[in-house]
Parts: sequence; C-alpha cells; structure tokens
Amino acid sequence: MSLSGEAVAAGPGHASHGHAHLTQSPEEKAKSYRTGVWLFMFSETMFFVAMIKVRFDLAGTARPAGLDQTFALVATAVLLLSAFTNWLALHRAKERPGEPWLWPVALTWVLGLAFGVLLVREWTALPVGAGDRYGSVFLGSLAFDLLHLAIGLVVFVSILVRGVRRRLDPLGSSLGLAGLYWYFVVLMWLVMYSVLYLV
Amino acid sequence: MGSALRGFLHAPLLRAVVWAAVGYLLGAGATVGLAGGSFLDDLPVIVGYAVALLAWILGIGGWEAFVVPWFGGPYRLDEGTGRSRYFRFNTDHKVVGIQYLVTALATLLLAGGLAMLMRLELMHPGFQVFGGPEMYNQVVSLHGSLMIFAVAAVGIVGGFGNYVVPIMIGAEDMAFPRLNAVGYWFVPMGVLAFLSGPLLGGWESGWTAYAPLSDTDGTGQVAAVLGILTLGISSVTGGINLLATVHHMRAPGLDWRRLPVFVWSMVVTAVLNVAFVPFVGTAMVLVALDRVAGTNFFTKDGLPLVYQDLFWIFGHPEVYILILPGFGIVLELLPVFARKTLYGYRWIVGGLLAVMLMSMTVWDHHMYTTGISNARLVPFMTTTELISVPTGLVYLAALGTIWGGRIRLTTPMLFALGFLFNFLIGGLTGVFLADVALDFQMQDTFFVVAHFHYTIMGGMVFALMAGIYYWFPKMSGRMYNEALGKVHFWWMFLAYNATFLPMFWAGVLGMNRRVADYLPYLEPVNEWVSVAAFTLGASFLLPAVHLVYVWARGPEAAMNPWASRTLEWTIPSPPPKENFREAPAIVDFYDYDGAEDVELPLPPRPLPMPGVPVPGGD
Repeated sequence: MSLSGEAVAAGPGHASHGHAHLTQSPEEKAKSYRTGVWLFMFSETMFFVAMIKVRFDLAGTARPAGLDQTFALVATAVLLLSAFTNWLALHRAKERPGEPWLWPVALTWVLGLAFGVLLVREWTALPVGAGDRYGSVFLGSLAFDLLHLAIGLVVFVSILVRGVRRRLDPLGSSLGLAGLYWYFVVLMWLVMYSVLYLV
Repeated sequence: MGSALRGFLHAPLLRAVVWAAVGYLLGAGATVGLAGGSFLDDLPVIVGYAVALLAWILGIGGWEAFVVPWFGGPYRLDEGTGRSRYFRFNTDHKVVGIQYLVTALATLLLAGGLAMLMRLELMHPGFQVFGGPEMYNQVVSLHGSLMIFAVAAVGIVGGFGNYVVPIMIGAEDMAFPRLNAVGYWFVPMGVLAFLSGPLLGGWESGWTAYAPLSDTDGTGQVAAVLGILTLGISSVTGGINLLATVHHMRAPGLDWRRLPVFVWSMVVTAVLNVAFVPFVGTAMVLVALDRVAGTNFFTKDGLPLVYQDLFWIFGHPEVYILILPGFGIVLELLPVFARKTLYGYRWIVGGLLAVMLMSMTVWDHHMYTTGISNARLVPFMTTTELISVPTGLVYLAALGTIWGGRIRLTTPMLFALGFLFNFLIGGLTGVFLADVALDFQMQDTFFVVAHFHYTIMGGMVFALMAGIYYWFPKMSGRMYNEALGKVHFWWMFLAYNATFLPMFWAGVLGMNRRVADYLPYLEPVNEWVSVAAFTLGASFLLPAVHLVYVWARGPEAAMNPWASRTLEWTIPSPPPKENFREAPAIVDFYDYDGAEDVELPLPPRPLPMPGVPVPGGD
C-alpha cells in the first residue's frame, strides 16, 4: 500500500458504525430497511403528487353535483379505524411483548379490505362516468389507491402467516415496516380524499 | 463458452421463460374470456404482460428469494457458480453490475442497428428501405425508447453503479442484495416489451410517447407503455438501494466529505430516479387508462399538454440521470490519468447537487412551442440558462484537474477527454435551444437531434466506454490491448463528430426530425451524415470483438494497472465475493501530488525497483 499513504483517522462517522467489521449487524440491517421503506414511500408520494397535479390541471377545483359525501366519510372512517388497530399492533409488539398483537393486525387487514370494497362501490355510484374530467381523475386516483392498498394487504398476509408460524424476525422489524407503510397508505388516502371531496 | 451455454439452459432462466409464457396466456386468456375481443387487443396485452412479468420475476428466483421466506419458509436460493451466475437470480452486486452492463451494451448494439436503418432511409430523398413514413416513425420510436430507457438510463447507473459503488465505499455488497438482483431482472423484460412493439404493429409517438397520439395509436403503443413502466420499476428500486447503501454501508472513517466523486454522482442520480420516475409512471398509467378504461385524461375532453407536463417533469431530470453518471466517471478518471489532485472537489459536489435541484425547474423548455402561456416562457428560459452555471462549475473543475497535469493518454483517458470535447458542444448548443426565440426556429429540427446526441451519445456513451476500459482489468482480471483500444477511440471519436456535427447544419437548413422524407436540397448533407453514421456504427464492432476476446483470453492484468487510489484497486481482480477481508484504510482518494511518475498501464507484477513503488501491492 505504498501509494495509499497514511490511513485517515476515523472521523465522527466511525462511532455510529460501532465496529470495523463490514457485515451489518441485525440492528444495522433493520435501520437500512427502515431507510429503504422511507425512500420507497417518498417515491410513491410522487405518484400522488403527479395525480394531484392532474386533478387541478384537468378539473380545477370542480366537483360533480350529487357526490355522496356521507358515504365517502364512512369509508374514510373505516380506514382511520384501521390506522388505530395498526397502531395497537405496533404498540403491543414493541412495548408489551406479552400481549397478543396478531389480532389487531388481522383487524387492520379486514378493515383495509372493507375500505377497498367501499372505494370500488364509491366509483360505481359516482354521478359521472370515466369520460368526464372529474371521473377520469377519480378513476386514476382510485387505481393508485387500490394498488397501494393491495401492496399493504399482501404484506400483512405475510406478517400474519409468519406470526402464526412464529417465524417473525426477532427484532419485529418486518411488522414495524409493514405498519409504517400502512400509515402511509392511510395518509395518502386522506390527502386524496381532501383533494377529491373537500376542495 | 460451453459452461455459459449450460448456464443459459439451466433451470431458473428456462423456468422463468416458461412461467412467463404461461402467465401471459393465462392473463390474456382470462381477459379475453371475461371481456371479449382478441388476444392482441390493449387490455389482454396489458393484463397478460402484468401476469407474465410477475411470473417471470418469480420464476427467475423471486419465489425462493422473496415469497417462501416472506411466509415463514426457509431461505434456499441457489445462486449458481462460475459463469452460470450471470444467468440467474444472483445477489452479488458485481454479478448484477455485469448483468446490467452486458444487457445495456447488447441493447446499444441493437438500437444502434436501428439507427443505421434510419440513416439508410435518410440517405436520399424519397423512400429507400421503409414502406412509408409510418414505418420510419416506428423505427425512430423503437430506437429512441431502447436507447433512453434501456441503455442510457441503466448502462452506467445499473452497470458501474452496482459494480463499483459498493467497493468504492468499502462495503461488502449493496444494502438490499435481493432487491438489487430482482431489479436487474426487470430489465430484460422491459427490453422484450419494447421489442414486442413491432409485432403488435409498432408505435409512432417516439420515446416521449406524446399524447394524444399515444392514446390513439395502435396496440404497439401499449408495448412502449409497459416497457417504460417495467424499466421504471428497476430504476426506482435501484435508486432506493443505492441511497440506502451509501448512507448505511460506508466503511468506518469514510464520511460524506471524502466520498469518491463517482459515488456522489450516483447519489445525485439516485435521488432524481426515486423522485421523478414516478411522474413518467403516472403518465404511462394514465395513457393506459385512456386506452382501456374510457377515461379522457389526454384525448377528447382531456388536455394533451398535461401529458407533456408530467412527461417532462420526469424527462428533464432524466437528462441529468443520463449525463451526471458520465461526469462522475470522467471526474474519477481525470486525476488518475493526469496524475494530479482532483480540482475543486467541494465545488464539484456542490455543482452536482445544484444541478440536481435545478433540474426540477426547467422542464417547460421542452414545451415552448406547444402553446403554453407566455407567462411560462421567460421564467423557464431563465432557469434553463441558469442551470448551465453549476454544470459549468463541474466542467471547469474537470479542466482544472487536467490543467498542468502529467497526462497519460491511455484509452480510458482518451474517452474521458472525448467526453469533455463532445459535451462542450452538446452543452453550448443547449444554451441556444434554451433561448425561446431561437427555439421557435429550431424546435423539431436536426439541430435538436444533434444537440441531444452530443450530450447523451457524445457524453454518456463516451463516458461509458471510458468506464469500460478503465474498470475492465478490475472486472475481468485481464488486460485489454491498448493499441486496439486507441484505434477504437479515434475511429469512434472522428466518425461520431463527422456524423453529428453536420446535423446542426442540417437542422439550421430546415431538416425536420421524425420525418422520413425531405426536400432534395438537403440531400448532400444527409448523404454525408449517413456515410459517417455507417462508419460510426462499424466502430462498435471492434470493441465488441476485442473485449469479448480479451475477457476470455487476454493477458493477466495488474491489480492496480492505473496506480489509482480509490478502494476498488486495493483488492484482487476480479474481487472476491465479500470484496474486503477487513475494513479498508480510508485515504484521500485524489491526492496524487506526491505520486511517482509512472507510465500507465502498469504491467502485471512489476519487479520492485528502488524508488518505484508497486501500486496496490503489499
């Protein structure tokens, strides 16, 4: 190593790595995965940013007369309830190791599915069709929302199966990441709900 | 090559092909059964392709890598050994990097062949090879889509981003090796989707898939939409992986202020990929909905300009996704071959970050002539001309690095200098096009074609070649032939400029792009360009044969033939699976001021002589 000169003294970044070995510890891996999910959510957010732009470009702030506000509110409430059961599952898995967390996950799954069904019913009851500008925007938003909902539901199925088989990772990071992603799904619907029903 | 063939035929790839074919038939068949119509309508093609893509990913190894462990099963993934690794789901970042690189290069040759057809058609007025203008437009569209989405966006980013970045930061692999492996396997499907376009009747809307034509064009357009979406998935997962890798996997002592400049360029590129590929994704999904779900985003009651907005909000950052990795490679090479400290490291990093931020603010310059409001013209002209300031900073830092250097004109250095020459022309003509008044005149002429080929081909492809020759000894453990490398450079460089420099002239004369025919007065310049283009096309055959040959039979390379200081040159060639046995020593990567005056490339295993250090040796 005659060309490489002296090795630079380890800077402040060194301490956070903890040790000189290059293989990540399980804790470090869990941190990497969390970063990955945050980046994924950032990227997904840009889909919704694009969709919001299309909504205002195409239909301005217009909403068709006869939009079923009550029904949309009920559907939103169902999804919000799933955010609560999701919190319960995360809280129990993290803070109270003894208490069962599987059934709140299952409940989140059921509520998420119910929300998806309500959303599709919402589309069929819409007073305008797909050819209408607002109708186009609604259908596009619905497609993105259902896609994200489906991703969340599939991930929860995997968590449930692994939980029942007692094969979940010891750090519980998979459940943590799935729960984090579910909050994102809920948040994105709240944004799209505001953009579609409230403005 | 016998083992390569066996690897090709070995189970995973064959299984993936069978599963994908069955998936396509099931998906398309079910759609036809439920909704009626024929197998080659839009909806069956989309559903069939979606199922086929999923089946392909599962078949190549996604089943063992993801599905089984996700549901609590054991993780049993056979990643293969030797050459068969390259035809499998393999989590080694070095294997993935070479998979990306070879796929991009093969696609480059294919799409370059399409360019040859285009030049044959444009050699004379009237129709030469194509039955009519539609077919010419289809070939242009296929050429552009393949080159942008499957070559330029993945060649350096997927190839060297995967191969070199983890080693440069002293890591054993990427942060998410399985995601990395699966990200690659989207690429061949994306390329196949584009290539299936002609079978479905082709599409004429270009690589930009402009609506409303993309809403009303034949089913071939669906192939382009699916190809862009597929390659987009790969870009986003790759970007996420790279950012997490650089953030979490740096070796002890390597903080952000010491990162190699190529790693910085990849970070900036990854941010742009993660943030802006979703816009083109949205645009493609909405085009698909317009075609199959009866929506009117961009046709009839809708607004085609909203499509252009979405597309270029992605499209202009995409331009920097293509060129900034090229700058990264060139800036990495210049200090090595000028034997001189990198000039203005902080200004370079600042310039890259500024370009990243400003690239989000310039997209309307692609739309001056579309009838957008006058109020949008001047602000976007201003931002577009402003972005040449940080780009200029980076460029001047490159010049500052070679200024007064002890330059070694090896093949990689020649390509790096070629990049600087070509990009100067590409960048300066961009300033002209940024000007609204001039753009009204030049829009959709060959001036624009010449401009973006000077940045993407003269820039990105030259940087790609520089990187290939530079890292070839590291990747293969073997040395290419310098003489053949130099012949390649001069052949390509001269033919390249002979082809594209007159295109500016043709554009000023009034030669339109995306039109198969032209008035006879344009024949001389087109004849010249065509002949030069054929010479340019032929120049790619030399390295194709040369590099394949030396990869198999070439002489052994020194561990560090360039006496370079970055970390990839401190480990054997090709590197072992885990890259480093212990945490590498972090040094100032660009400090060549005290370095010995050596001739490059260094021969393998030089005899130790008094006063002459053995670079990279123990």
